[in-house]
Amino acid sequence: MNEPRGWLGWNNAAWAWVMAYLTCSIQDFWTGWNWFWFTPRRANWLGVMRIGAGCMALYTHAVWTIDFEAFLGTERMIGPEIAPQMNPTNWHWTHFDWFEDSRVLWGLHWVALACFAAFTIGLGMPWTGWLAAAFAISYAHRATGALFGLDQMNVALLTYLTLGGAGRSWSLDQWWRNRNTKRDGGKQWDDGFSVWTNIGTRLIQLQLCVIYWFAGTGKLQGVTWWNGEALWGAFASYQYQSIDMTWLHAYPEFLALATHLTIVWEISYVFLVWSPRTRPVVIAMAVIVHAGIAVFLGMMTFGTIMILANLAFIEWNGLFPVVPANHVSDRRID
Amino acid sequence: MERGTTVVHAPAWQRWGLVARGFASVWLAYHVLAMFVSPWAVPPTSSLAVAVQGNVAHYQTLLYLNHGYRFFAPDPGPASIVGFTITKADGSQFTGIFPDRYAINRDYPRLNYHRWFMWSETLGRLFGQWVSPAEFARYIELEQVRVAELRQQGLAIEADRLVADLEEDRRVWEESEVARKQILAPLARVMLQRHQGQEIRLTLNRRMIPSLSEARAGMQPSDARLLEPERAFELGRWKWDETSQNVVFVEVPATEPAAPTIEEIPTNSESNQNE
Repeated sequence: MNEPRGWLGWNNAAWAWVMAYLTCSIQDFWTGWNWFWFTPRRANWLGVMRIGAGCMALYTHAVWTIDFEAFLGTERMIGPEIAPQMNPTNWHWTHFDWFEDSRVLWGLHWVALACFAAFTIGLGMPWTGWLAAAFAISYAHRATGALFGLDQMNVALLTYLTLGGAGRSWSLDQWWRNRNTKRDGGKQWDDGFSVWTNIGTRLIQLQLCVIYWFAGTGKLQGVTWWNGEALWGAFASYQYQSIDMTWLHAYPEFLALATHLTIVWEISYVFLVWSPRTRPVVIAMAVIVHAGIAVFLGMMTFGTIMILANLAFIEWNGLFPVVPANHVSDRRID
Repeated sequence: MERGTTVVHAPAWQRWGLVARGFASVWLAYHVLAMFVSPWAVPPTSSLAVAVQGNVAHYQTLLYLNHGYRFFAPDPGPASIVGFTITKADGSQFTGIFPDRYAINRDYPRLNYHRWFMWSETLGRLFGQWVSPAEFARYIELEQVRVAELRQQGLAIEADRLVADLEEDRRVWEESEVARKQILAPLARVMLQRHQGQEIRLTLNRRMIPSLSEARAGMQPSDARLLEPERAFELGRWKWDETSQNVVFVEVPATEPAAPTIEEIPTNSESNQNE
């Protein structure tokens, strides 16, 4: 007896199997998506990261003070004409364009530094955090052409840490709330769990994956990353080097190994950092590579902030657990 | 609790209701897409990447997400160095470069030095392939001879394509010329004001990286030969105009050699871009 045939000549059993498979896949994806983004997380670790990122933002913008007029002032050397060359749209807003009085710009510079300081100590969060992120973007849009990875990471961390409620822990705000609660004889203020903290953490993690993936695949187009001489090129760049490492020319095999390891690490980061087994190795490599950039290539700030960002993959409760610490078990209801 | 009762906890991620998670999911998907597509759309790339980029470009710019993340890629390359020669009112000349390794202690902290370095790298990226008016005129002249030859051979379609290409080249070159004068004028003004100069000549040079074999033969990264003086070229000249209290671009006669050499400033030189 012939089985009834459906669309494309497939029998109904085959269609049922396909539909069941798709339904399960979509359900699994939705469950996974929800677990990934919306599982509440404690803010403790983001609080620690906030202190580090705040120090970096404060230092970075304090250094602008030295050549403020040349880079950011009303009579600066980086004119607005460069913006169309560097930005795909005209939405590159900056508060510097709103004022033409140099004294106002200087005043706002001190306000910005105060915001970065408040973010660092966790005072007036999240409002000071949003202001700090806005100032960092505004400075970056003003000084287009004199920026590098440090500025990109500054903005990312300020934004995501504020979004993640990093001011709820290791902060003056928390201390103040605890003090008031104790004085009133109530229960001590608990920083608790928050979905926003998880979202902020996940965005930092994904930002790192995007950075390393494209940094790695971009290098695949270069010759020296294949012939093993790329790290030599970095060490021997006179404008970058801060410690003379050119004696390494006597060890070309070591340079080649370090070059290949660097690119393998960058490209595999997105795949290996999520597994608890491989995560320690991947994060250790990140620390080694960025410490090398900081010490040998004169980019102490960039190296430091990248190491800081990698802390987003470290959990507060234990260094490398698979699942975020939950106060409610994450069992599915079937 | 009664025996045999099974307690099933709700998943922790259900703390937010379905609607809140739905709205948040849409925004998160859009944000992650914007985060991803910016480096994806860096040339060489596909038309798909460019199309997607076009839809998220405003959002990327607004939040400063538009980055390529091509650190030391595709290869660690030569550094761009901007040189300047300033003529003062008394006729004396003052030269300098940025970034200036000899002035690194004066540019302390290192981050400040790096800002100047990144600025010179940006100028190198924008104008490193610059073609002077004389060179461009020569190029057009040669290509027009080719067009005439193609027409004589009866290859009208090829000739028309070449003419169209030349028109596009001319448009791009003219736009880059305007951009060059506009972008470099503020730099010229700041330098003239800092050093109380009357006229400034800006040049662009590259410092190459010694190869492994050159290093084995004793060449240091600071070796003057790595500056490739023959590749240096003039970015332009500007003079201070008292009337407008601004700089004015100075057209250089085509006959004048446009390839100055840049030499490292001695350690005891007074020259420094940040004084």
